[in-house]
Amino acid sequence: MRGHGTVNTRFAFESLLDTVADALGLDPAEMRLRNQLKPPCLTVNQLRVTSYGYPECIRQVVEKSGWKEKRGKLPFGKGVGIGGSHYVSGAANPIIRSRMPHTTVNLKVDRDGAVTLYTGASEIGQGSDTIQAQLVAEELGVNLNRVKLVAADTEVTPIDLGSYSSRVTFMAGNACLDAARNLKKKILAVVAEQWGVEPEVLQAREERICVSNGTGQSMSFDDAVVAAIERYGGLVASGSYAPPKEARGGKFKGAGVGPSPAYSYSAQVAEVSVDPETGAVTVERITAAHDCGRALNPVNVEGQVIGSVWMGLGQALQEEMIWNQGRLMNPSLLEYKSPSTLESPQVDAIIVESIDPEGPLGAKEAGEGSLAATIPAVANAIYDAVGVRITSLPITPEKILRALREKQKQQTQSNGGGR
Amino acid sequence: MSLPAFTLLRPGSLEEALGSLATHGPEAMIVAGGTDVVPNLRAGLFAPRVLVDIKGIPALRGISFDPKRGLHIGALTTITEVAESPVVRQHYPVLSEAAATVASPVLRNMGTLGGNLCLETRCLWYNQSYFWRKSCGFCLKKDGEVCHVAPGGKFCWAVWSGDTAPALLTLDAEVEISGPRGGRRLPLGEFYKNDGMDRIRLERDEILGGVFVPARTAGYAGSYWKFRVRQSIDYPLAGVAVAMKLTDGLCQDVRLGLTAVNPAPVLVREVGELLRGQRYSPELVEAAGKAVIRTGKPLKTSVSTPEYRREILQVYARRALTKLWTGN
Repeated sequence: MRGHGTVNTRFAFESLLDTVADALGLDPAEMRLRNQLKPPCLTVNQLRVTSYGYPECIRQVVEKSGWKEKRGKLPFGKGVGIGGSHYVSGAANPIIRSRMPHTTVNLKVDRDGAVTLYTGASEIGQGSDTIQAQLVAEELGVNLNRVKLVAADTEVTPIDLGSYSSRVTFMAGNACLDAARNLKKKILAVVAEQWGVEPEVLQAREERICVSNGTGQSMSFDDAVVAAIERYGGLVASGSYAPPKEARGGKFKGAGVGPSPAYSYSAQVAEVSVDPETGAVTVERITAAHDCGRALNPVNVEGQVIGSVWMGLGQALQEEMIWNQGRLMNPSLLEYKSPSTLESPQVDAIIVESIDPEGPLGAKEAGEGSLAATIPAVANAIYDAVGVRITSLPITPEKILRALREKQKQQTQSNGGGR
Repeated sequence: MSLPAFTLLRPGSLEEALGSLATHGPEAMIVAGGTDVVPNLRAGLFAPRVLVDIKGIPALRGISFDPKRGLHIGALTTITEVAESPVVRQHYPVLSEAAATVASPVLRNMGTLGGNLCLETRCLWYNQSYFWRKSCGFCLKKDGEVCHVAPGGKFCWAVWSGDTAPALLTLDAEVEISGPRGGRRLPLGEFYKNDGMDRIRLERDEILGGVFVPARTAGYAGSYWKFRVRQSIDYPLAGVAVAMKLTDGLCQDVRLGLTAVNPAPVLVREVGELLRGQRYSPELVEAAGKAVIRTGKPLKTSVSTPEYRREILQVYARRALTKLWTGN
């Protein structure tokens, strides 16, 4: 399960937005664009929005999907639909009632220049190991292959609250930057002393420490590490992250759940074909834009977006736990129908970079945010294709067929029963 | 869900295999590709003391076609080989279409035609783990007294869920059976008993050696329509196979077979009676669709409802017939 609490409500919300747009005779994309936030701002429920790529997400998917040429203009049985979503970059209030940081990491550099990052964050396939190593390497100005991770080993790694709420890039990422900055400060202090300059004029980049005053003086990272270890006896640093107080939400009942230091935004357009005789839905294409702040690893972001879309398609059209007298009737993966490759359409993933002021190098989450937009986009596309709105998931062929029959019956009745 | 203990025998010839079956009697079970037997063993549905793996019998493998006699396919020929065989595709297209829809590529590479024709019947209340079945209360088909599909009855409604059988039925195929009493041939239609509990006429000491398809149905146009949630992996929830002989738009002969809705794959005789000697009309096709649900009787054996599967049977029957008759 991902995006807990947001996915089903987003399906309802975005379906209702579509219904409203239909009733008002507005283009649903245009209606969404007219009702945007103006960040930086506090929302009505006291969420602090610091960066906001949602309008750009909508504009991009509208353009890349051919929305204007297609919506309401495709033949019966074919349609497009739009859906949006947003998501937290981690919960601003810890699930563990404690004042400790949400993440702490330790860095150690050996005399041979190898950098080891000790992090409690768990890689669960989302790519967090890569992102953390990238952030450390970037800040230290060294190649990625210098950085080794020791992750999620509670015997040696400090505490991270966990891989949930799409929090690791933002929170562990900020802790990595903090640790790398602390470590760099130690190295630069030693080099500055040797050269008789202020540490502020020094930069670490491309495996060297250089002076930014134009003299061209520089030293390799390896030599700088050796000098630092000779000076300190060892080269270690820690970093941590806790969301700022202003991000932690309002005072009303329930205000503590939902606030985040930053929010991601997604918009998607689904294009579908519906077989009016069987109710079968084929998703032809999904155009998905995701505002992840700065994309630290664009391939990884695209992978996360495509994965979210795929998961959303399963929930939208196929996946269901069927209960009978308290017993799960389809407990196996043969009968619980996750999509196969043959149900996986073309997904055009678009990255929108809003650059968050507090994210690590401007980054926000890219994990769960896209998931919730897929389902309403598909549902709204089905409505555009055949004119029936299904309000429960999964949207099975049987439900569509029943709704089509019902609609036909109503039309026949309103025509006085004649053909 | 681990495998129960058993002894695995690997005979190298048909005689040896028959000998093993004769020796171990009802405690032995045949396995070929294993794609049906192994999951069912894990679920505790079968408990053979001896598994006789017949894959090492080369004589039971291969496809041969003689324009005068017909097509012969050894029971151990894989589903992939059947689906991709040029002679099958050319002369009996309904069979290659059906074979190509079985499960997934990996399972088709392992699964055999013989195995596909001897599939265990399937039901929502039967294809579950031992733990699940125990918690629910065992069913008529395995360890229990009650049918959860039709409580009160003493008949097992578990459905035949193979893809190749309905196609072969439309081609008048026969099965070749070897046993201690010699060999025999049986029309495929008689091979199935239409009983979810006891699905096929194959004694415990016999082996299904091959399939024979007569020359008279070679060249019949064919089409197979399979309803399932996913377009890969899944068993059919309803399936329609049609083979048709046309001369200048005139239907000389037609057979329509169904799967996954009854305890056996079945031919809908009425369709032949309705359409033979006729030219295409939407009304005839509509009538054939109606005939199909007088034979196909889906019950609550799967999570897809019987009502919807009846709808699908009609639509697929109409589409299959229309496609073969009119080309679209």
